[in-house]
Amino acid sequence: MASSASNAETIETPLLKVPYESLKRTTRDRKGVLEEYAEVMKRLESQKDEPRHGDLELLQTQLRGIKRKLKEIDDMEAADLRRCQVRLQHLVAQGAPQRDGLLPWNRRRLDRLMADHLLRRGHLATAALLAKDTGIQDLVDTHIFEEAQQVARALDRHDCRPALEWCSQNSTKLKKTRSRVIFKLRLQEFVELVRAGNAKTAIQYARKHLATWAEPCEEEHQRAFAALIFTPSTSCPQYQELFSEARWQELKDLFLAELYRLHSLTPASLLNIHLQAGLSALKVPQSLEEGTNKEDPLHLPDFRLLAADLPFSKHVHSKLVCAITRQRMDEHNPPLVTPKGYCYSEAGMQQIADANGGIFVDPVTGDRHEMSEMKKAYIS
Amino acid sequence: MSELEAALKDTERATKKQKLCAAQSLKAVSALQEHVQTVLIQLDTAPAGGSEQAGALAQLRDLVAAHRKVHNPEVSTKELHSAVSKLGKSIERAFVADICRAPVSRGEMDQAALDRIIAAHLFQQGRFEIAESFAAEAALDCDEDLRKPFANMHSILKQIELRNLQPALEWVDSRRDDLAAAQQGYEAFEFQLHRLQFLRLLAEQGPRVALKYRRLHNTRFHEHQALEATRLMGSLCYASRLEASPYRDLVAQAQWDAASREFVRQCCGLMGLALESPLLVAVAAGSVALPTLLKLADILQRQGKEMVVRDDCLPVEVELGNEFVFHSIFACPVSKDQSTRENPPMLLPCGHVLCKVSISKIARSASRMFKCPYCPNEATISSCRPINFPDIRT
Repeated sequence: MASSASNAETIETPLLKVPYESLKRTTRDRKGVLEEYAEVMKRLESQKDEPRHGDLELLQTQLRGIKRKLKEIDDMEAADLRRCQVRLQHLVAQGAPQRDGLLPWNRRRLDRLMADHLLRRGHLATAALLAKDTGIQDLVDTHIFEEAQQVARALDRHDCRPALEWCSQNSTKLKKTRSRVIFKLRLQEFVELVRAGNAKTAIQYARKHLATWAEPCEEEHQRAFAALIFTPSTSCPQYQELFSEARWQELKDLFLAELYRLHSLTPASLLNIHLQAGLSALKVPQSLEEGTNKEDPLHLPDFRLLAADLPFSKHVHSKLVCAITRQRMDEHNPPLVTPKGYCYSEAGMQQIADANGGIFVDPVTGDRHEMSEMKKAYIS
Repeated sequence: MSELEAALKDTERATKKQKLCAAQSLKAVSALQEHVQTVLIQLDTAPAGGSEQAGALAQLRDLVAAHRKVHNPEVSTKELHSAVSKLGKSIERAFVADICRAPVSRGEMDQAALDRIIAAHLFQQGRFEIAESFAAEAALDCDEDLRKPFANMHSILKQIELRNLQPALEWVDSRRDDLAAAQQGYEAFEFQLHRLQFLRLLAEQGPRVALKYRRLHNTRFHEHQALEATRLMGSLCYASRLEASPYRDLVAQAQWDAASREFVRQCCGLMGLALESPLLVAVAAGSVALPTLLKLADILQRQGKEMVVRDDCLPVEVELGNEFVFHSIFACPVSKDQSTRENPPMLLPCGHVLCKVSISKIARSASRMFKCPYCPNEATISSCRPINFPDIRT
């Protein structure tokens, strides 16, 4: 069935996209190294002068460098291909969900979504335990998140250097997206120098690192320079913001967003994405009432918190459940209406009537009715 | 072959090409290194200004020429690239959409609430080591409250799996009042346990012991199960051959599994929880909703529009399926609007149901007769009465 097929392959895209894009990047690097090797070969073949000892030693160094890069590339390519393979095998085994079988189909998936979420939040030990317990190590991108966490923790310590190093390693891609993360990092370091009272060093730093950003980030750039005049204890709100702790959190969020984008990871965790869609699809006004059906996740306060800002679900078709039998009511399980206007399934009413000598006792109101008093309702 | 299987085949092919290319490239570089080393040694051992030095260039060129004939990593590299390209295309064919394009809310989710939910899920599943690691890493302070009831539940569950029903029976006894108040049919569950115990004693220790057990717990074999209890007595004849008797379905593994599940349901019920983890239910609902929302986002994007959430409601209906229907929802077949307190569903004398607003629109005045849109019967507004679909309560 088209819809059930699209179910699995629509929502699992990131699972393959991440290792594949990584593989593509690495094979591009391989091309670069191969070009280096080709250039060496060309040089050697067109050599006219006698080779000197020193030149040959330099050549050896270069060749050692090429070899090292090739080995790294080999490891990365093999790892990404292995991930692609394991993940595709996993998806083939997972199959498409059966109708009304979404809960069992998602049981193992949930472990994977949780592991991804835990990694993003920096709970690496728990993620590792979970991955090992369920054998999903190759299905989650642990290595990417570990790299991210190292930089994130440095930023927590107010250290921008690992982040800047990551940026320089990925500068071409960042330039393509016209990312401002490098500017923001440099700006933060500048602010810290100003905060430490090091005006002279701050100016030198700004000349070296912020000058190139003067044009694209004009307003922020000017404000930064103005910060030289103000001190960290300033009461002026515009400049207070520059020295605030919140900037570090924003910087970390911006950096992680760039890192995720580069690696083709979703900006929010897969768990978050599923929960937003799922809770919205489940949310009906009755979900938020007192003492509501406890099978509905929204009867729990924490779920209500999560769903507070989410839109309600839309229903164009009726879906009715009998409060007595908890079964769906439809043409196979028809509904009946009491003289007081309460609607239950005929089967449910009969069940109660049988246990009460033929009289139906309304479980909600306590009213007693004969079965003959009920009216049939036709609801499509 | 499905798209996925095609992509898998392409992955296997690319893997082979990668191994080959990597090996050949490394070999080429290593060989070149050896040649350079050879010439270096030659230079080192030759006396200065001698004819051997002049020969070094020739030697180098010969070695390099020979190298070129044997090693050609460019070929295998090209093959690798084309294999990777092909893999990319088959992945694109197999995976349709970008999951990020179905955002429902722009805001961040309450992380503290989500942390508690994750912890509760792990504890409910009995994965205590992982749960505790999470509680530590996420700095949750409520974990003891979460842990205790589930720790107890899982220890009893483990005993049931080991075919020891004693802790479960003791649990029922100790929580009898709460279980009765919860109205979740605990009597049937207790009977289920006693029946399993009875049959096990019958098989292992013979009819006399089993009968003694039955007499001892007679009061617990409630009236409700009178018929079942009577049927059970017939099993005494098959003491040693239950698996081959008409009672084999009662001693099958499925019965024990059902007992385990029912125990979890009863136990969770006392804690105000359903059998299934709420996190699983919410995520499963998401897995159904996302493709629909993505399809909509796709269509809108091609029209150059963005997904708009109007009236605090999703723009499209998502059919979740029977696993997710927890409340009665009435949608008027005429207006397609969902019923509200102000606009309840109304039962017409013919048995069809429309919402109040739709009826007012068709009737146009309180005393006028109108025809039901679905059958020839006529009615007035006053002959229609509102329907109440009671919610499933605990």
